[in-house]
Amino acid sequence: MAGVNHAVAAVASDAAGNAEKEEYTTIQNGAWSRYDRPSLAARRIILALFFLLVALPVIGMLYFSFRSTDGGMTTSHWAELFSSAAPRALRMLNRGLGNSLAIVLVTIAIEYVVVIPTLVLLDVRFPRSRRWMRVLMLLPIAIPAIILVVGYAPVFSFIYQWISTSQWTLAFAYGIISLPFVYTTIEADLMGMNAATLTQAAESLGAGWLRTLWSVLLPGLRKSIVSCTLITAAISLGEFTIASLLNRETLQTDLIVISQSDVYLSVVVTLIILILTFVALFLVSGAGAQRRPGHGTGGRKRIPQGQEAAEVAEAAGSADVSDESRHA
Amino acid sequence: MRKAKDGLGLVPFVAYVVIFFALPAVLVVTSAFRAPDGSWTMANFDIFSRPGVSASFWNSCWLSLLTAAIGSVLGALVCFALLGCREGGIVRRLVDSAASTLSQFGGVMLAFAFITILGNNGFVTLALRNIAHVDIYRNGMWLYTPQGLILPYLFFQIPLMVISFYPAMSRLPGHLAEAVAILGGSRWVYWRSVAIPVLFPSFMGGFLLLFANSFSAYATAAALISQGAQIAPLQVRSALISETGLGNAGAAGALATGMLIIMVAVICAYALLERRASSWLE
Repeated sequence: MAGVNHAVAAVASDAAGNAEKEEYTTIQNGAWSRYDRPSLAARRIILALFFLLVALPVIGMLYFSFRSTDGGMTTSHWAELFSSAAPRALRMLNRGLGNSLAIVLVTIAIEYVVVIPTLVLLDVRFPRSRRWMRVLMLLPIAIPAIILVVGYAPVFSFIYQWISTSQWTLAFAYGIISLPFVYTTIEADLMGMNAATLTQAAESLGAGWLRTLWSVLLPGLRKSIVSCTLITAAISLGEFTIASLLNRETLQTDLIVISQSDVYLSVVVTLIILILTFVALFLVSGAGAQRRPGHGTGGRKRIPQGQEAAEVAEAAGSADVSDESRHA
Repeated sequence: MRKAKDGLGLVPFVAYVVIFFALPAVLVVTSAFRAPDGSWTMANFDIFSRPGVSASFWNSCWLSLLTAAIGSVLGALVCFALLGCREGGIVRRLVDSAASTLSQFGGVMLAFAFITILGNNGFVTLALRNIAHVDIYRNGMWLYTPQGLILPYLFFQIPLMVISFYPAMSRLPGHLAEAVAILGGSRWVYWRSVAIPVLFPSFMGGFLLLFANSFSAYATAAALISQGAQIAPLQVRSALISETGLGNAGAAGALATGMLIIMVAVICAYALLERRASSWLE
């Protein structure tokens, strides 16, 4: 019974939104404090310092964006952004942002159409490929943008000359740069849901490959596809090396040009983008929190899991187990 | 028959990776050995004897070593603190999203952020000058030099360590700590003789990843340092954008090949360490 009580109490305190509560109680019944967990004080101090570090850029940019050139405070830098008489810098920024958004869309399309289906196919049909894929996907990290750009120069001048002069072609390069991140995210989820077995089950029931992919595998990968999309978007929106050295115009190259005449505008735009990215990543991290690998497609199982947690806790008589399954 | 059909499905991906990764990578190396007239040559590597070029590689190396060392230790401490936080809880989510934002998101924006913190009119600079009467730039402006890159680089190094090292740390089996306690060992004994040795390969893997990350970082430096080329990536910039004609494709190729050798060595060591690490933490 103690286990059930604990689970119920824990759920109640969770409902109260008490996130600061010591989750892994160091001393239970006056016994042993876990060696492999930080003490409450250590945890608070370290995390407070980390959040201070993260907050510094935000505080710095906020303060800076309200400073006037003579040292007083002003809101004119923010007003400039929304004024109808847009300064030239802002029109330029709009163009760069437009280019960047087009690049982001094409990069995501490349990941969806070419990369993710192939990663799934490799995992399901060629399980032996896992070992060399792991090595292969390290290569884009070993040959980063600053090195690759030297080889991209001739490739993109060919594209520029013969195929298209528009800016979105950069997406071909950004798709490669995002590849290791897409791979690690998708691969972890594929392993967790046992894709090969699911595929065999689907096919023994008569489903073809496309149907298996669409109604069995992709729903299971929903969470990792969403985080892939966000990371890909963040990488393509923030990429500077290739765009700048190939003389393209994107949001980042424009920010640099503008900073030379109106550094306040650059800072205001940077602050907005940084916060939007953070919020988007934060929201997505929450969407996946209810699901764990091997637990099917998530959300729907929430209510039964409460009972499950209590039962498991009862059986094991351990507070830790109820802790774990409660958040499953 | 089915294998052949499945193999066909790989064609678009293979074609994409060959054209936009393998081909440019090969072009980097071959361009290093090409003379402007198209013949093979070693002359491009003479660029390393130019003043400033070797120094820039040296600067890149110490900058990367230093920021990787500080970043990996501080990042590991954050991972340690995260062990006490609930998986999927609000603190974990905040740290995760903040870390991915800072580590993935363009160095240009980080450079702007840093100018507003420690630039001549940055709020920390002003606060120190007006309140504590300390002028951090009394001996000249150091933010726009390689030394000045140390602090901005830490802003993406620490978060990258948090992201790459936390999975290893969270897989540390709980029964190890229990075993130490049952055998009468203290917390100190557990960390010194068990946890740290088990985690060491993963930690070194994270360290190497951080080294590779800052060695190849371009945007932050490019945004902060507009004159000169004190680190290796900026040398590639000046070789690529100087307008003296075709000869520079070879120089850029030679510089990029020089960087490539260091990067490949680091990433190979990383791959070996990762393999060793995973056998402990399965």
